[in-house]
Amino acid sequence: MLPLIFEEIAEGQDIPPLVREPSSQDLVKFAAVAEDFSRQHWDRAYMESLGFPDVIVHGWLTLTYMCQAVTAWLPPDHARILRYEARHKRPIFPGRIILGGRVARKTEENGARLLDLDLWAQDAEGQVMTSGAIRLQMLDP
Amino acid sequence: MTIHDGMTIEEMAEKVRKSLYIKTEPVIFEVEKGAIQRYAQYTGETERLFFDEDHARKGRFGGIIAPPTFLSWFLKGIVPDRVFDYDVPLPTVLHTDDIVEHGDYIRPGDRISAVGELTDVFIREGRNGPMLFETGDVTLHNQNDAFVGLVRTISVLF
Repeated sequence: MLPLIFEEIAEGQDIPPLVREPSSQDLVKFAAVAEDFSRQHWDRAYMESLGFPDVIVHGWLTLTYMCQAVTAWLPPDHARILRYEARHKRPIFPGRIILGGRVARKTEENGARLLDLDLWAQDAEGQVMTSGAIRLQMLDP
Repeated sequence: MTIHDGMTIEEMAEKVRKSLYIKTEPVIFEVEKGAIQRYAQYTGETERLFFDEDHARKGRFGGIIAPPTFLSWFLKGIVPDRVFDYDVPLPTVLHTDDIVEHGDYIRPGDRISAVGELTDVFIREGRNGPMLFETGDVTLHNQNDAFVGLVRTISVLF
């Protein structure tokens, strides 16, 4: 795939969606690598006792998937991530997550070519579970 | 006015505010290549710059760099333990927001210093009553004292 150049990117453009399907085993792996052993991510019986249908995907894992959607579109040797944020609106359970984004703004500031994207993580029904944003700076070739 | 165990939410907020702006002692993390690679592997990462040393060596970075959310690795032992005060009579704690500012790339062999502090405490009215919000920041610098990142986490208690 040829690298994207700044001039080819348009405000309002959607990035290609990325699909992830974390299983409860994937949450155990993430708990190990992030050393986040909160019960809500691995103890299904506990979560059911609180009224949830299943364990919850780590917020940081969802955010990781959102960033993966961006770096799949603009790899790190083409653009540098300056800032990102996420609001976890609803708990996400193991299963299909669709990560997407849209170019909200394209600017040049002090010689830096910047892209601001809105990001989202949707469940299989298309409901936005996590919303976010990211700012990227295009790197010189 | 809602009272839990004899405390109003305003009293809980006042208690938590006593911890505002008190910086933790720095926690030092040594970044190993394997830790970056495992993080990439366990999160299903496909970008080779984050785990394939031979591939990364040929490019602009000269070696692998950490994926962007690897910054969360430096929160352990600091967030929530040493930054947030959850010792109030509210039964539910949820993590609502993450905000990250990125500085220098993180590479194998880096020595990262992490300092945390509670930076905001506020009350907002929710559908089922008032909720207590706490904001914690962890600031990261590397062995050259270069800014590596700021990780801001917001939690809600209700």
